Amino acid sequence: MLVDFELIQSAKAGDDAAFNRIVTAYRKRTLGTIARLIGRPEDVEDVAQDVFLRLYFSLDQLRTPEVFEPWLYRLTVNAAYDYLRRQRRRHESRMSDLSEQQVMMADAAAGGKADLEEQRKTQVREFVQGLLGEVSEEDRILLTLKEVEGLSLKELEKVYNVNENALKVRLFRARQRVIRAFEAAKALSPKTKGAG
Amino acid sequence: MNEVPPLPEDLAALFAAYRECVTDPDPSTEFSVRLWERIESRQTLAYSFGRLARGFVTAAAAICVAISFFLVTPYSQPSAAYSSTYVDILATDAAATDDTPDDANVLLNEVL
Repeated sequence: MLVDFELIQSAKAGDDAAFNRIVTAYRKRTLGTIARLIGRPEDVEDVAQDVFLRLYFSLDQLRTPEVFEPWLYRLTVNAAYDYLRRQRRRHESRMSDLSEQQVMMADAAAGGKADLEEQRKTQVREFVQGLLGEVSEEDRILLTLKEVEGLSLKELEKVYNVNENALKVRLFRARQRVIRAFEAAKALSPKTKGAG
Repeated sequence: MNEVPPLPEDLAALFAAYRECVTDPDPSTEFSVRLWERIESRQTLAYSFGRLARGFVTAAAAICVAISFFLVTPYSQPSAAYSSTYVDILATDAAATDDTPDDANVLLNEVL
């Protein structure tokens, strides 16, 4: 926990200053989780604000301060899920993003000032986000929380409010689907590098 | 279900690298300001909607009370048709007409 239980109780009782301190404590971590979930840096703050907005108006539903962090994760998951669903409906093309990346890399190569580490990071980021884009929003979120954020099954149980067996089944299926997508991507691009 | 089979090593390493590549970003300086603006905006909207809803409920309750009042209030001049019994009306009818059958007259006399 990044804050005391008393602070959460105060915020729950309507103390806006206490709520502000909670936001300050958790916003960076929440921004990071959302950045890894949705993959679009320009929208991360909007989604994060959505999370805290929902938190503010649902704090009275929080049973005990002990479940605050799973509760916050749950709100984060819901906000990210809503965002990803909206993005899928819009069918936004990312060609402009890809072409911008290509331009950057071409400039870097031509100018001789390529930051290889930055290029590698960009490749990893783009590849994983593309891979996660091949599975459903539910799978994407579960895999990100488990494989990227490193949440344990116990923690995920509290976030998803399901029992361990149901969660294991979901995780197993999500892993199978992402493995298939990964194998397909490797088959198409043998030169694709992983972590190196 | 037993333990979930782990990811292949190369995929697990890729996700680990992704975690390192996408670090926690710093919030903008306006983050909290914009958040509170959104909270206050939603509070104002909720308050206005609540007032509107309460107004409708009050109006609906008043209409129900008015309708109930008109339904239970008795008529000031009751109809003559409902002040007599059925037998009285038959008797009145029988006295008024000449061709009332004898059987009907006998029945009426028995009832009265």
